[in-house]
Amino acid sequence: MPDSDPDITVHVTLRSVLGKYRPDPRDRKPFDVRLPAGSTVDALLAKLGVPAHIARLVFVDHVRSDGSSVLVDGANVDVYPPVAGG
Amino acid sequence: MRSVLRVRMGTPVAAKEELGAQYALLGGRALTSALVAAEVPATCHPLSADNKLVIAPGLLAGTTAPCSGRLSVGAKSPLTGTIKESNAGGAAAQAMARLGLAAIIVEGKPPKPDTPFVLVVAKDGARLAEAPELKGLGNYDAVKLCRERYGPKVACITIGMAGEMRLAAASVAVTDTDGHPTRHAGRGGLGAVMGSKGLKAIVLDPSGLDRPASADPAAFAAAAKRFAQALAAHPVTGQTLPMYGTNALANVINSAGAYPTRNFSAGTFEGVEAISGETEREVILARKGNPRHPCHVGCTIGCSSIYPHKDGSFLSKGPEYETVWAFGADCGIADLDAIAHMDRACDDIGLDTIETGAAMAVAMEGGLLGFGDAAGVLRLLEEVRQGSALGRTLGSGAAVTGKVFGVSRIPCVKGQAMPAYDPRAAKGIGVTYATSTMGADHTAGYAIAQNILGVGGSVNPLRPDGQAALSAALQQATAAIDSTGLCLFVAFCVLDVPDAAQAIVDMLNAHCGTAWSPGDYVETLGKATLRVERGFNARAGFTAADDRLPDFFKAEPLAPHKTVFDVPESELDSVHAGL
Repeated sequence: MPDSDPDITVHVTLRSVLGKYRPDPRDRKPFDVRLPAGSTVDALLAKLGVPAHIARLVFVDHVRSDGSSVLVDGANVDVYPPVAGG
Repeated sequence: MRSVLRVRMGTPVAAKEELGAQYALLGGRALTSALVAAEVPATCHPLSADNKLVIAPGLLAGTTAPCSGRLSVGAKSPLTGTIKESNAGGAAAQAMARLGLAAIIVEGKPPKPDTPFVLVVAKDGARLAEAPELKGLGNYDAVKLCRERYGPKVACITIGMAGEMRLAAASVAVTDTDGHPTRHAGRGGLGAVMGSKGLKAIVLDPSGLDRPASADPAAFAAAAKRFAQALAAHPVTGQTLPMYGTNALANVINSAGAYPTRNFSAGTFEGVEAISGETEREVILARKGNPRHPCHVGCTIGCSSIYPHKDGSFLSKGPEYETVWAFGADCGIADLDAIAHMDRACDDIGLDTIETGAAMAVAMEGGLLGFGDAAGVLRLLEEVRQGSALGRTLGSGAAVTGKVFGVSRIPCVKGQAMPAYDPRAAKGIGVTYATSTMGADHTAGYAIAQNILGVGGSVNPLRPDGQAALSAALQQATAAIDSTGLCLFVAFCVLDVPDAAQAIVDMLNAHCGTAWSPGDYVETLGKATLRVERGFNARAGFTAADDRLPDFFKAEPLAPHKTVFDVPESELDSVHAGL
């Protein structure tokens, strides 16, 4: 019987000082993470070991999202620490 | 007691006078705008003898307040026709404060327009002298000669060729802590006003002079300590800005879909990674440059850097976010070394990097060169340096360039090019662009903090709701900060930490002998300044119809969000209703 609730894959980029949580901290390119369908941003961060209070800015497909946002298969997730400039 | 140095170029003579009582509690932008509004006819031609260039350090300049070295430069703008205050870091503000100067006012026209002057201000007084040897020099050579002649510890305010040619994108350069002319009052063409006065350089020598005395030194020291601690503890001012500089934003704004690309035709740039703050830091470290460089003594953030050539020698300061965007994404260029060369050229010629990059992008759309043509941009910057007809066109800014090349997508408000945030994907900053007294200016009310960065609250960037009220509050607070001499980047901490805001008021009260509440501070330095500026602009002929964005922002949806700028005009008109 096929799995009616398969895993999803999201493409994750961890920026600047969050680099230490990447699979290879020196490789800044996006990497794939598999999660159960219905997973949230908070679940993704927990799986990667990124403390939620440091991951201040999360963009899912260019939309700023909070920890409760539900991820969909193929989403691009960019995660930043508190950052500003201009 | 602070005084004013009035420089009459027609005579020519420089003489100190008392600061008028009505100006006693003003500094920085509040003072430049008050003086310009009082002394400059609003309808005058910006390059005429009637215009005046006013240079003022902030109220806290010269003290031990962290990050208090911003210098305000004001005049009627040749770019916008509005009143203008453009501010810069560097060493000049603190030097002026030690010299006891609340402002330098440069007025009139020189008797011999072809001979530039240098103004030297030191402990023993001020003098104007002809300086034919400075004529036609770039800022780097001009500063080198001034430092050789007047000593390595002087601070210099200079113009390059663009200012001498009175081009509308010309900047006013200020030397940094290494004596390089890397800090610029870039916006609004104030270098052209300085050039129209025949003034090539101001040399400030504060040797032998002490810091300005505070009314209550102990209370001041205590407040300054609290402020420094708050800046150090905040993750932005204490960690990411020092580590990655302002260009840390490139990836963030691209992630938000608000990174204007190829003359505002898209909201993301496929080459952003190559020009990001992370890449910039890696290049600087690999070449043994300095990734953290304060632009003035007492800056505790140190968001600037030193960007070396491949052989490790000095090329330029690390190009900042706006510069990297203007010559990068906006021109479709993903080459950080090329952008660093453009930054160096602009600093030397004396050009606003935002206006000049935007002009190049508009010229690309007009077919002068292709998007992505870095060699072409460098060649065109040399045309500006040489003063060819094409170079003077580009050096006059994006609006003029767009007219010359028949382009309809010209991203300007009141003639000034927009900076590095697309108002269709960050609508709060669009309100600021439209309604600022300065033309399209992100620093006038930096709604990106709440729209995208989650600093000081959160307002959905893609919806029109709440953007007018957000921009209004930010514009008032910003005018106040611009008057203290504090770097605007302290706001990232102040917006999050209530005691940091109180510490600013406490520093002002202890230094100036005032008893301001936070509300008094915003009223006296913020709202009152905006009223003065709006009054000047009204007398110059500006109306509500000028507080608008170009039509294409309302008609052309921006990818990836497919949004347009749709804040109602009635809300734009409400922004300054509470002043």
